[in-house]
Amino acid sequence: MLDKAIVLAGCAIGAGLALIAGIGPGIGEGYAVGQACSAIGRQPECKGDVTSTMLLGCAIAETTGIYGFVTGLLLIFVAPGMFTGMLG
Amino acid sequence: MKIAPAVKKETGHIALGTAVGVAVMLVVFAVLGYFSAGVAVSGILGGAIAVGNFFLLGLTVQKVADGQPEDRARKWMQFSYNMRMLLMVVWLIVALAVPFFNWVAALVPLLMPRLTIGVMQATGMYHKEKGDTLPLNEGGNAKE
Repeated sequence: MLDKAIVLAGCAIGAGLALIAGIGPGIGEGYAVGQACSAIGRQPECKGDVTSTMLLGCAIAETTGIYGFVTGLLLIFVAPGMFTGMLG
Repeated sequence: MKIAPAVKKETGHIALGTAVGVAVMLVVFAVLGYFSAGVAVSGILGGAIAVGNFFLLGLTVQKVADGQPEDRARKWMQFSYNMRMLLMVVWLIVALAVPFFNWVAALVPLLMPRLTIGVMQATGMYHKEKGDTLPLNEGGNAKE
């Protein structure tokens, strides 16, 4: 009983910690977009290039957030059943 | 709103890469003997959501690059990020909760755009050509 409670608590704490990963990309993307706006303001001719680069950069940054969400969701939905099943 | 050519082009690349990735994933499932209708539907829906997410990101980037004030652009981007993440989380929860879907097949396509960008960079598809931007002066502005 106590073993299961410890496993469930560990999964819940781990999921919470994993979801922290979602904060970073949000801040980073906001910063990147702010800088891109400045760049376009300075050099409007490069709008297409800046858009393209920012798009791919944001997609890469977002993947980190997705990893965090996926890890968190797996810890909530999949891991408890798996680990408590091992305990019997 | 007219879609910018850069957004169309990059979304096309990502859609192609994701389609190839999903096809490879389904073949791997078939080889391992886990293929079913649920796996196929999960993979296709997951791929569609991954491409849709990238397209929405492209529309957001296009909107903020369209001469918005820096502060407003930043807030709009963060709002868009939160909404798109919510979409992903809802899809993953549905895939995990509904027995018909295979959660692995639903999850893997979400990571395909990153893989596609990595392949594009490795194969040199995404190398900036030299000399296609104007030189900057000391103040960081374009020289006339």
